[in-house]
Amino acid sequence: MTLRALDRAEELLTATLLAAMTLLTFIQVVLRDLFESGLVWGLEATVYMFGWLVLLGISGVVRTDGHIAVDILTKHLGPSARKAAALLATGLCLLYTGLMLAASWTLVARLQAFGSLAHDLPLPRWVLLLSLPIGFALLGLRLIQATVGIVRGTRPVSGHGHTPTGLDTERQ
Amino acid sequence: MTPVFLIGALLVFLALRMPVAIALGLSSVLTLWLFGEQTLLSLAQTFFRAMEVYPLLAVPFFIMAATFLTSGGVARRLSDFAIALTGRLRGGLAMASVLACALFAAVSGSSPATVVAIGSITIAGMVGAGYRREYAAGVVTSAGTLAILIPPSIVIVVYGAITETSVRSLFMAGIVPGLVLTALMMAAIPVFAGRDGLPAQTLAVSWREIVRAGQSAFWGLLLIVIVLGGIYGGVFTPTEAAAVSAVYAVVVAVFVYRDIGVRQIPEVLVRSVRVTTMLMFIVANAYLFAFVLTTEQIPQGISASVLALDLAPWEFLMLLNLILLVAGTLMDPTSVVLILAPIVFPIATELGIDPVHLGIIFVVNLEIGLVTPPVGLNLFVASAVSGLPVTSVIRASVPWLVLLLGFLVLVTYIPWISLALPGLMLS
Repeated sequence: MTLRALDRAEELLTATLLAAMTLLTFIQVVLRDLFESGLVWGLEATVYMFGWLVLLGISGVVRTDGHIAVDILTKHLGPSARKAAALLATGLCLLYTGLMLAASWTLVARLQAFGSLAHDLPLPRWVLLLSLPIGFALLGLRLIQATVGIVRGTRPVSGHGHTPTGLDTERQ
Repeated sequence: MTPVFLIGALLVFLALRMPVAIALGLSSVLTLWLFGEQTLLSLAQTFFRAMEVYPLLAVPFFIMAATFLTSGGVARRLSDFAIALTGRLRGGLAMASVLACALFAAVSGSSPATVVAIGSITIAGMVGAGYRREYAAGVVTSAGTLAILIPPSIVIVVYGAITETSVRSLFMAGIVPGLVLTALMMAAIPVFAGRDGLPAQTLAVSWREIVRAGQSAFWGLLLIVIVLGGIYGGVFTPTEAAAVSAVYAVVVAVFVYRDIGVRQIPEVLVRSVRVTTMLMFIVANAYLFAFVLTTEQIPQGISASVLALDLAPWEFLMLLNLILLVAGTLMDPTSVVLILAPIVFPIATELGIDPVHLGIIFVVNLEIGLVTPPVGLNLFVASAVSGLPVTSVIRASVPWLVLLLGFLVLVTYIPWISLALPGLMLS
């Protein structure tokens, strides 16, 4: 299935980004403290990699339903009311995603029109910031997937919250 | 009208069980859309700023370090060392659990990670030695909160970033309160053991064994020296220290202790990514929230009405503690810091409260939030680790809650505890 392939690609890419930005920062420290030199573009590259990491990762967390939510109210509702609340919540999440996607698109389009370049990296800024529209588009895709799941009843609308899953345990 | 809409929308969204990140983001975006004159473009820029703020780069690195340290054998060796140190005392195993949490807190900045790492080792050990399981779980649940107070701490990094306070000073400020709380908790072990008392049996640990346990834990202990020494010695920034400890954690777990195979590295990285993005998505949306607060001058409004009450600083701090305690029971520590710090910070500054002291007050309140229902993360994690129902863990944590509340009063009203060390080291 293509969505499954997308999951794997997201995981592979974000894990690589994390490893790369960690190593890059570490190398910068070594270069500076031991050899009194450094990579001019190091920090900027790390920042943009961080951007890609976070934005590509957001949708993965929706997929595994790991985002932190407060569920003191909805857990007292009946099943159909709970389903309605879940649909309303997902609809509002889609509204947010749509607005942020539009905002990201506007920013990227503006930067491309101005042709502004990054400080130290030899790349235009709009390319580096493509993480924003792509990340929000993927988030939208996952939310639509979640909506379909709630309507069909294949996705549980309660029970994540603060259950001690592997995810929660490493959250601070 | 604007603040009412912003806060009202946020509360409604949270009640609908929307993710905290999106609730923050959507309430901010809607407020700007309805009342503000900001362009769409500035929203995207503000969101992305969370990834550009230098101190916040420490977040993924510290999370990665914690994940590798938890999966690797560092936690076990630190626990063994702690047990060797306190084994001769009555209640030594429970004291060792507190000490092990404190040691792990000095290499990791995440509280639930500490409960998992230390609890999965020491709870079984304590039960085997004759402690009640509830008591053992209570000890680790509470001592695990040391992780956000003792540096490095992710909550402190986030507080420093959002209030533009030096993370280095905040880290230094956490040390003395962290040590005091560790000592108080160790001293409370026999007191809280209650009528059942502590198992009379103690371990006869020889000096040789202590040295051997220390040698075995050497790589973990060295990390404490590298991170804290490096930051305070000015060798590197907290962000760089985080990257160094992440690389160090991988090397120690994979090549020195060999608890994680090379082929398992991607899996642990993916876990770190999950935690990082979850947290950073909240932080990025909190930047939108803070942006609305600033452009609509909401803190100034709240500040004016609070200052009009003519509260003495101690009254304000009491009010602040109450608000933070309530917020801490409902949300995770990072979310509380991100929502409340931008509102409270200007008022506190106006009243002459030191930003670093304020940060430590936030952290100690949120430690309490970690062990209070309904949203006390440590309770759920400890329940999973100990195999006890959450309600038993909650009950077992009550005496510790009282201790933490007493400690909160100390930290709130004696700024010296937090400020002495940064003052000494920065002068």
